[in-house]
Amino acid sequence: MSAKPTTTLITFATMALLVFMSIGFPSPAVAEDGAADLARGQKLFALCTQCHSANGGGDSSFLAPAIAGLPAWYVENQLKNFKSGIRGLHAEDRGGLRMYPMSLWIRDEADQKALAGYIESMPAVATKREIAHPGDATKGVGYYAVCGACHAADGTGNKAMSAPPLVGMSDWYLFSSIQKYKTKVRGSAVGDVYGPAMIGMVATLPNDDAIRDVIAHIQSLEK
Amino acid sequence: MIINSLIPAASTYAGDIDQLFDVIMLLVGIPFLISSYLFFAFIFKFKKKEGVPAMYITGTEHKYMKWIHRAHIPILTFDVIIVVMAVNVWYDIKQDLPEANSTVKVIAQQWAWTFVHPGPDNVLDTADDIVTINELHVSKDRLYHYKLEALDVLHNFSVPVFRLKQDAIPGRVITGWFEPTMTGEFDIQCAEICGIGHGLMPARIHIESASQHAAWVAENSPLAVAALSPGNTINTINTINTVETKIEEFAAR
Repeated sequence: MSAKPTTTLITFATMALLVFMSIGFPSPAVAEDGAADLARGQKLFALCTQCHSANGGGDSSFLAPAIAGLPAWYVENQLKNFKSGIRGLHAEDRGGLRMYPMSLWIRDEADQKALAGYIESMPAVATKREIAHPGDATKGVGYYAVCGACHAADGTGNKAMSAPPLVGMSDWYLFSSIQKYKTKVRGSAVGDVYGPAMIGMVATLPNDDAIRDVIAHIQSLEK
Repeated sequence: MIINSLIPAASTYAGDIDQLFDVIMLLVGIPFLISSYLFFAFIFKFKKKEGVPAMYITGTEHKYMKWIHRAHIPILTFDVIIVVMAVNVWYDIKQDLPEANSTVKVIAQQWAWTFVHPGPDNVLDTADDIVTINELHVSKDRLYHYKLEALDVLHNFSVPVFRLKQDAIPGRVITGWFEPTMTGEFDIQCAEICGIGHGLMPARIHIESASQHAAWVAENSPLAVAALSPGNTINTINTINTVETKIEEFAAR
């Protein structure tokens, strides 16, 4: 039995309306009081979950570190760095090259702020120990003295120095980040203000064992 | 003819592929239009009429079957024409590997392209190789081999102005070739769904004159860059602008 023309017309009109409604309307990402729009940030975070997982705990198989609970200022800075190519656009930086196009989807500063604010509001997720041969935390104390100058003695970071917290970060991510700084895969791009300093700092870690030791010490700082 | 009016043909074999598409379009398109016309014409001509009972036709009699048998002749003839032309084009592009003037490495990963150009010595895997992200530089009228790799999942190296499409398969190094025939800046895209960032994996190919390309190689050789500014990698601002422009264009649609 064939449908009547009016029924078909109503069906098409309903479908068109549903499609139109599903497109939605952009909402302002900064709340009127200037605080980050967490609702907007939560919506934007759906993209991040593809690699960083739904709770923001990260996934090493996607080269995506834990991000839940990171300070908003740090997340916002990194989003800007990725988007401008200061970070991530290096042939050897596989994780960075994945993050670069993602950062382009966060279209403007208001959205960057909203997303960073939402990530900061998320409860931190306890990260798994994934390094194959963990280091010696006691030996790491000495190496950490250099790191602590900026990242604070307790590893909680220091906004004034643009140094993010290290406690709670994925161990594999700390390891790969230090390796990237040592090989100038990260930190050497034109316009990277703090990268060159990090390249100098990681030079105080003479080998992989030293990197493992300092990471073990950082993990020992977690409460 | 048809494709060339929509997008420039910028490789030596782009014309062959366009010609093949034109032939397929005509051989398939004209019978399609004729059969569509007949289909709808018969629907209207033999629509339900008062007092005229519908005929039940089994289709086994010769007078009915001949209309099907006769149609087989052009279909088989056109098939043979298309297959012969397609095999010739396939052989020229995919199986016959002409000698190269230069070789470039094309490395696909989620979600970026890395291109390794030979430096001033025109030899790959030497200290003067030029590595770029999302930006391939080649010279007009120069035959290139490409060595295509994928670091993670399936990708597809697609250069529409060359009419070039080649899958990139993890674990394999696939060799192909192209020879640019016009200067300009054109799209490179991934033509194989490769994850959430697939749509944001565009790159650009810069086809330069021989002198322009030589100047670019000299300027961007790691040895020259190191001499100018130690520790700096190649400036990627142009690439960033390109991708951001594309996103803005996409968002504005």
